[in-house]
Amino acid sequence: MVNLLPQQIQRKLARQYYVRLGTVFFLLLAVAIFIGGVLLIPSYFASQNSADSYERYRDALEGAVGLKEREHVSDDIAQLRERVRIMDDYAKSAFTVDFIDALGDKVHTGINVYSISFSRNEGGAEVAIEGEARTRQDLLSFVELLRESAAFTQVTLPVSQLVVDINPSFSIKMNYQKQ
Amino acid sequence: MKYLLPLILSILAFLLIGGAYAFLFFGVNGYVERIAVAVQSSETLTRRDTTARSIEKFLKEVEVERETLSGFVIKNDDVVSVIELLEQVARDEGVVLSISSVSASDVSGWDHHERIDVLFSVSGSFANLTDFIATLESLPVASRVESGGFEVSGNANWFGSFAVTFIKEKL
Repeated sequence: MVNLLPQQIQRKLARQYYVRLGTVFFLLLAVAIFIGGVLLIPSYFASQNSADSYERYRDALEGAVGLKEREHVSDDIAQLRERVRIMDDYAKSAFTVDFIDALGDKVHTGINVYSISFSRNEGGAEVAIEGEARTRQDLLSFVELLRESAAFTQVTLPVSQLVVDINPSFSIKMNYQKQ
Repeated sequence: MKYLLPLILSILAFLLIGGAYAFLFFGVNGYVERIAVAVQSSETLTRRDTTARSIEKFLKEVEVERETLSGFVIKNDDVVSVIELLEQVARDEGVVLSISSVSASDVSGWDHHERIDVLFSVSGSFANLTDFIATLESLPVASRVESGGFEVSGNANWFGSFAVTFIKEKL
C-alpha cells in the first residue's frame, strides 16, 4: 500500500510513535517499581524492628553481670597455665645437689679440689674444676672416672697439665648432664 | 515540544519511584547487616560466656592445687620474705651469707610472673656450703641455682658465690 503522506509528516508521526513508546515504557517501569516498593515497605519496618531488638539483646548480653564477673577467668587460666609451665621447668632443672654428689663420688684420695664452678645450661651445667693431684696417675684415673660416668660429658683436660709427674695442678672443663 | 511532556513526566515519575525504591532497598539491606553483626556479637558473647563458665568450674575444682602452687610463688609485696628465708637457711646451715644484689627481671614468655635474681656469697665448711645449696633447691618457694662456684679460702673454709632465681607474681 502506498503511503500518500508527505515525508515530513511521516517523520513527525514516527517520532511521536517512539515518544509514546518511551512514555509507556517508563510508566510501566515506574508502576512495576512502585508495586515492588509497596511490597518492600513491610520488610523495611520488620527488618528495622528486628535490628533494634537484636541490638538490644546484644547490649543486654554485654551488660550482663555474670559475663562481667567471669571476665577475669581467662586471665586466671592463663596465669595458671604459665605457672604450671614455669614450675615444671624449675622442678626439672634443679641439678646442684645431684651434681655435687656425682662429682663427690669421683673425687678419690689422690685428688684435691680447690675450686668448682658451674653454670646452668640446657639439661645440666657447664662445669670447671681446679685442683691438684698427688701424682699424674691419680689425675689420669680421676679424669678416666669422669669420662666413664654418664653424668659427665666432654671432659677436657689440657695435655700440658700432664707434664708434671708429682703434684700436678689441673683444670678440667666438662658438661654435667642431669640423670 | 508539547508532545514530549508525557515522556518527561513519565521519566520523572520513574526517577522518583526508583529513588524511593532504592531508599527502601538499601534501608532493608542496612538493617539486615545490623542484624547480622548483632547476631554474630551475641553468639560470640554467648560462646565466650559458656567457655568462661567451664573455665570457672575447672578453676573451682582445682582450687586446692592452685593454692598449693601459689605457695611456691612469691607474692608481689613479699620479696623481703625471700631475703629473710635465705638468711634463715644460712643460719640453720652454719654458713655466713652476704647478699650482694636482689633484682626483678622480665622473662620472655612470662606474662604473669617475673624472675627475682639474687646474687650472694657464702662462706663456711664445704659440707655446710653444699647443705646450704641443697636446702636452697628444696625451699618452700620455687628456686633454682643458675650458676655458682666454690673455692677454698684457707683453714678448711670454703667460699662460694651463687646466682639463684625465684619466681614472683606480676601485678
